[in-house]
Amino acid sequence: MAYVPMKAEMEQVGRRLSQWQASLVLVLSCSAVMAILWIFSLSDIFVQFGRTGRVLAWLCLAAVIAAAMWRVNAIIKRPRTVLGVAALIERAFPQLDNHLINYIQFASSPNPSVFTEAYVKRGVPEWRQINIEAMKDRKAHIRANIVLAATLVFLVAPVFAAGRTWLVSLYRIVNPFSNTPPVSLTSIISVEPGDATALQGGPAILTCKVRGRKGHRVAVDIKPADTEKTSYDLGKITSGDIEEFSYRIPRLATDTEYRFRAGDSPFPKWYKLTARPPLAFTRVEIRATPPAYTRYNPRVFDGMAEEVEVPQGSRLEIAALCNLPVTSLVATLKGEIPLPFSPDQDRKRWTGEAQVMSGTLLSLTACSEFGEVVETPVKLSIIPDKEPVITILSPKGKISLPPETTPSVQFSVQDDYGLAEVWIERVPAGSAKQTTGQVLEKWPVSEWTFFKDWLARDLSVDRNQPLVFRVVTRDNYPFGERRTASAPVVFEPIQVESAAKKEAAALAAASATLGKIIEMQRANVDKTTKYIAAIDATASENWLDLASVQETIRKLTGDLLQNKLNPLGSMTVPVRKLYMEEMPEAIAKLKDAGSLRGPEQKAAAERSLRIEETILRKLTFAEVAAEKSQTQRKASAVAAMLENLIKGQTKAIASTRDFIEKKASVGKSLVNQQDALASDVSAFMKACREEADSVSGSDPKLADSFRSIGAACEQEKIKEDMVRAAERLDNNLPADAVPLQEQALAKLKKIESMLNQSQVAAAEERLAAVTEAMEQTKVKLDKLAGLEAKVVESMLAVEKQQDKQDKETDLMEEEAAEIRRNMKDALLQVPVDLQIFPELSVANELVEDVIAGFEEVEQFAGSEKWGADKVVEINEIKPEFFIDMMKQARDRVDLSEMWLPDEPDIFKWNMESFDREEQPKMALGALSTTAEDLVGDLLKESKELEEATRDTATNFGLPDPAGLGWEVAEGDVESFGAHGKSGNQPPDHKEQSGRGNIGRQGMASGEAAAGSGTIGEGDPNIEERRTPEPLQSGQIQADGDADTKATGGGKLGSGSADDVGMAGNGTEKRMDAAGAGSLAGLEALMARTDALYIKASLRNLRTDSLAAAAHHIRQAADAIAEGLPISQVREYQRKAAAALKQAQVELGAGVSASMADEAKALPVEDLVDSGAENIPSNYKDLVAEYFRSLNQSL
Amino acid sequence: MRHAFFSFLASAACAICALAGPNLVFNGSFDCPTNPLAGWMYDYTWLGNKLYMDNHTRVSWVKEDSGRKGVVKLSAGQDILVDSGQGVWLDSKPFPYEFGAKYRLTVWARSEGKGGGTGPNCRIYIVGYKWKSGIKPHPDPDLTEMAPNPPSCIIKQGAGHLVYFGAKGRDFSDPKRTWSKGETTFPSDDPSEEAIKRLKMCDFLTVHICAINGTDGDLYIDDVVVEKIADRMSFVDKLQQRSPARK
Repeated sequence: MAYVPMKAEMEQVGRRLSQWQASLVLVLSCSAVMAILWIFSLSDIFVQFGRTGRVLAWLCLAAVIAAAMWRVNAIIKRPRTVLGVAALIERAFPQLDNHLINYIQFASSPNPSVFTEAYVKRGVPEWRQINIEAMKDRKAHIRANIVLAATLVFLVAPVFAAGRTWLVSLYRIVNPFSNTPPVSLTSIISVEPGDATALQGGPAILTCKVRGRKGHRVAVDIKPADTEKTSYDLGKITSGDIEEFSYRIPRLATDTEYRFRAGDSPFPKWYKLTARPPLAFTRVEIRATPPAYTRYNPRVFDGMAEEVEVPQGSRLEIAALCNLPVTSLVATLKGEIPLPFSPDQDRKRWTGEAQVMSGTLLSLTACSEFGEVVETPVKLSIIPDKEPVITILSPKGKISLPPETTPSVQFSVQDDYGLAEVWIERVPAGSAKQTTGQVLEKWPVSEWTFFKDWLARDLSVDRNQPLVFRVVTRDNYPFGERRTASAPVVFEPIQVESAAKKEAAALAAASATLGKIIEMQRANVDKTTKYIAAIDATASENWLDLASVQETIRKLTGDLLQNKLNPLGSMTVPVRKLYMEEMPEAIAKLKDAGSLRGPEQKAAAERSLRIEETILRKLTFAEVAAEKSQTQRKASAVAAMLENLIKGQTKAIASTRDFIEKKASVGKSLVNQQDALASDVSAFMKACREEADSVSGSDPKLADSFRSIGAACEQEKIKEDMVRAAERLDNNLPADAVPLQEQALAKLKKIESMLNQSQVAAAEERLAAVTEAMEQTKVKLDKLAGLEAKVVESMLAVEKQQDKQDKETDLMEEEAAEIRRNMKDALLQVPVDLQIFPELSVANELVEDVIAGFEEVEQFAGSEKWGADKVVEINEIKPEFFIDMMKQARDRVDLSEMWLPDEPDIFKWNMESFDREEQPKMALGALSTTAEDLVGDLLKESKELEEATRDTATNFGLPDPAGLGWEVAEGDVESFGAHGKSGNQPPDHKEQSGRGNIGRQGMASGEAAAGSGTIGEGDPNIEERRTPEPLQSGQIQADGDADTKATGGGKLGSGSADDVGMAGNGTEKRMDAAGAGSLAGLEALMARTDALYIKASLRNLRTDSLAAAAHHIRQAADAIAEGLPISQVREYQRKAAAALKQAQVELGAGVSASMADEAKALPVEDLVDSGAENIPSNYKDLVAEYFRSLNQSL
Repeated sequence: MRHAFFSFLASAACAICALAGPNLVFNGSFDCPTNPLAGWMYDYTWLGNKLYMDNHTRVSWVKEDSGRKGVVKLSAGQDILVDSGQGVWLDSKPFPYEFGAKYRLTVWARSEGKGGGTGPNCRIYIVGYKWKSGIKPHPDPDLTEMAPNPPSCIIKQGAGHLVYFGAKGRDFSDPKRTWSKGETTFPSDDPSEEAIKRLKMCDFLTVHICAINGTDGDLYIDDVVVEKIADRMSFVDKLQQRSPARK
């Protein structure tokens, strides 16, 4: 038997063995796979795997299959060695007795031995008897097949029980990536609204349709984005049909997910409801472009937040932005066609434009793709282009036009956006406003304001017809032509004589009224005295009758005060005080006397009598003053005539010289002018004679003066000179005319000098009288002091005489009380009469940095011993021209080299004071931030010199007087520029006003402007002062011995005496900002940042009207700060501009042709009646109680 | 480069001039070769005072006048001297002041009027300043850095303490028609308490020359000299005697 065939056989047997083994593994693996598949499929029926589970199951199956295949492959591919196969055969067939192995081993030996060869030769005969098939493990194969069959049965069998469910389940495991759902008993057919967008804030209804097993429950899970999931049970399936279940979300606040679950319905899907906000406008931006003529810049408004305030005719570019795409958007202006808008790409932003002429509301309406409609209003405030405002500044009212007087009209025209032209028309008297008259002069204007002082030259005047003008204007309003006309300005031509007669008649009537009042008052005093004497027998009606007469007296006095001719003259102010205070009190006391009984009645009656006597006394003075006033008026008229003549002649000379220079022919108007001057000289002489006659009774000296002036005028032949000059001019000989004109002018000036001298003499007399009165006042005070001492003595005596009878004591007490009361009245009168200082409209400015320089001065030898013989007395008449200068603030005056004197003051200034009422409001210019003080050691002076050089108090004040001089000394003019120096001498013992830096201690009613500093030693004998103005500027410290009890506001320790000294002049009037007394006003005042106010000051326009201007300017500034509408701001600005114009006119006013404007009546209509009879009945008891306590305290 | 070199030379020359003697006034003799008015303040436009806006146009340097070389001339008419009365100003460069020390100021001056007039009168005196707040002290002070807004000052000499060119006068220095020398001392020998207080505050002195009053014409000034003549005045000793000794 050869080895090679044996080996092949062995290899074949080996392959068969592997095949059997592989077959077994394969069968078992298949069984395992099917078993696993069965398990997973069965699980899927109950668990309903998701995709993940299915994939895992599939991976598991795949892994088993892969492992089986690997194993089978490994078995088949693994080579079996011949020896291995032989060993397996030997193990399976023991009868071979290892022959087979031995044979294969020997046969394969390379160097076989003999024995080996012999063995090989023998072969393996037993091999042929064995059946190799016996090596197959049949049992194992059978069992494996059984397992396979069983698993197959298990896999197939459920088909018959579960049918499609099993197959679907098998398929879902086998193909985990298929979307085949597991078969369930209940299924959700549809869900509404599914994934959707819903209105935020609105309800949402969720619905599902379900079909399934009866009894299965249906639920919904709601999961809002901002909270946890919540489940709601919706009920159970009641039939096998399709059923519908719903859930309502009442208010969808945010994005919300939801799902329905129904029985075993697998995998309920989550849906999302996206909350959509409601359609709204997020921004409405309006760019307003005002018409060019308004000169306003374009402005952008937030149409949803603010009112769109635009000038009429503005073009609005509207951009509306919505939060959602919008299908349509329109803007509607009330009563107009809707404005078309166009969208951008995302249809959220829409733009459109329109021009607005009127309307108050612009309505924007948007419609979204969901059908939602939203509307937003845009508030519109159309500022109309107002018609121009024409203000006739002068003349006011109907004016009398004397002959040879040229009518003049001062007017201002303002428009909010600008004027086009202004003209003045002459219209027939009584014509309507629309009537177009004869255009006299026209001015093209391109500004928004126009001011003109128009003189009606070369106008034919019919003396029988009134002359009527209208100022007419047209503004630059581009949307139609507008004509605005002023009220008529009427000049009534009159003859001088008739005017004079009219005035004289009016004055006579006023004088008669005053006489009547005095008579009535005298009668009332008599009756009151009589009634007091028989007080018990006097009926109430008698007292009431007296009260009634007293009321009539008051009414008539009021009429007199309102008379524009100012018939009371210098007594106007005291009489006004009577009207305000004493007269109502007298009425009240008389009524009290009528209603009360016993001691109270007597007290009221006696008080009334005292007041009536005071009234009578002052009215009697007023009668004298009225007469004096008339005399002064006449003197002023004569002086004014003369002044006009001088002015006219000066002007005529200048015109004549012009003609000479230009070598031109002399114009007719100059000839006429010179002729008219000659006529005026005649009139002047006539007036002198007439006025002399009229005042000869009241003022013989003045009458003499008039006569002498008239006579001098005639003797000097002034008129003849003028007539000759006119003739030369008429003959075109100007060079010959000039000497005559100059001669006439020189003579006129001579006459003027005569007039002035006589007036100065009169003033000196008056001053002497005033000085005497002052002396008398001093004596009166001394007497009162003595009286006071006696009263004290009497009181002490009363106290000591305890044992005296009560009656006697009471009498003494009553007497003492009476003396005290009288004394009090007298004392109170003194400071009132002496009060001459104007109310200081305090600027409340601070000079932040005061630099105090010290100067070493060596006192002039011997000057410390100087006596009264060194005194130089200077008497000054009040400088009338100061009145105008007080009103005008110039640029700040710079100071030159200044130094301190080396000798004490030797000048005694005696100054005539201005009446307080005639002083205008001082023009307080802005102060500089730094000021220089110059101080030195006090010079020594003798007591005698000090007393001899005491000046009278002065109220010659100027805003910032120029040329203060080199030496620091007390002069005659007060400065309101805070330029004063402390100097090296104490101030005189007198009240001082003005504005100062620091200064030395002294009596001052002015303002301390220094921000800081130290008051130096000065006048130690100062009275205490009431200072109601704690906020006034300056916080100056007292230094050493310096006492500040009488200094002006701001300085510490201002004192609080009730009776002595004057009240400080700082008042609430300072608060002229947003409103007196308001916090805003106070803040504005304290802030001192009102640049407009400063600007106004620097424009040199400080007049009475400027206070109003400043007020309106501040109002405007406040309005801007408070965000008030433009229209209101403009209104304030308009008022301010008007007041400024008025101020300009006041400053520039010359001799007016208007007689009506010459006098201004003091208003009494704005006074508040203070008498007890005006008190509401509810408060009468309270007020009576108040007065009782007041009386007791006096 | 050459320009810079010459500038340096000029400055050095001025400095040598100034340091040549005990005179504390910089360029008091007005003979600095490059700028005879170096160190002197005569342009006050910075003051903002309208009266002195053109002060500099009235101050000039004259090479020679009546035998004196290098003098300064202050020219003014009646309007400046009397009417508006501000005068013409000239101030020296500030120099340090030592409290308690005594200084002597000497000035040569003459005045010549037009048309035979006496010419401008003047006031010449010493003014004491302190540093303006906010200025860091340094060795080369300028008048603009002194107390704010000159001519305000801490202390200045007034009547009785001015430079007088003849007998002791009052408000004015009264220069003569020919060159004459006037002098004064600073401070006064017996200053008041207030004056001492000011002196203590004083950092620097200047010589202030003001042509004022008189008649149209020119005021000539030369050789302005300030020397320290005593380190300690008697009032300082008195002051210390009054003050209690510190423990």
